[in-house]
Amino acid sequence: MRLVWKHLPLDIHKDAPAAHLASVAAQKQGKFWEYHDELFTNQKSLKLDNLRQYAQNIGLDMERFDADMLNLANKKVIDTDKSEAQSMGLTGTPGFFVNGRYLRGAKPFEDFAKLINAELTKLGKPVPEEARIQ
Amino acid sequence: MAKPKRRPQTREAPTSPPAQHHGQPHGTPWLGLATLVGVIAVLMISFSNWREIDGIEESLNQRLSQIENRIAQVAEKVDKLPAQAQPARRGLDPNRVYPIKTAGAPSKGPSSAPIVVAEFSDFQ
Repeated sequence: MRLVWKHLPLDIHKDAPAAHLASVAAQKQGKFWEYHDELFTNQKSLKLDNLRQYAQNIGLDMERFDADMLNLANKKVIDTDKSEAQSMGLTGTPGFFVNGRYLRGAKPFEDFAKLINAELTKLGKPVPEEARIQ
Repeated sequence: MAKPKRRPQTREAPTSPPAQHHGQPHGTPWLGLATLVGVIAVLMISFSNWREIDGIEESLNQRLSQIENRIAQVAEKVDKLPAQAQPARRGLDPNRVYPIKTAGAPSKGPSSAPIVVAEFSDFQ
């Protein structure tokens, strides 16, 4: 299974845009998921100096990081993801799509598993024994 | 010289008109009359109020039954609406396969994986 991240900062979250931008900056240095984990561990502290701290925590090049925070091209990446979500009618987070099929979050694991198993079956792939849901 | 005897005059109360039941002093039959007029006026006002209230009640009843009829009509129409006329939640159709752009997006897991989960999420 492959997990793909898509940016969807909500308008009501004032600190969100900067956090997403910082995550793109981290991605450019090959450390998106590490930075993602930093952010999720510290969801209440997403001010600019916090964001820089987390970048330092995972060993990012701060000069590049600071420059990337100001780079409009990086902002565009986030805006593109957000527009994509909105054009599908997705307005809240999280929103999960399993092989393009929408699963309203946050669902219990069972719902995920069922959908994944259905997809596997459709693709003619075997469903692992331990993944079978009654 | 002898003084003429004066007959003691008994001082009597001035003669009053024929006693009235309620013992009213002489010369005010007007109070009774005024009371009577007042009573009649009150009765007349009450009567007219009663008629007015009756009229209001009737017109309200009419309007109420009109509203009830209208509600019954609308309820009938709503019941007849086909189930699929109701829009999908938040515009997202769980039966549809959406093409999610994954190029350039951060990902975890093998690129050959048969299952791709795209997560649209916020950090805050």
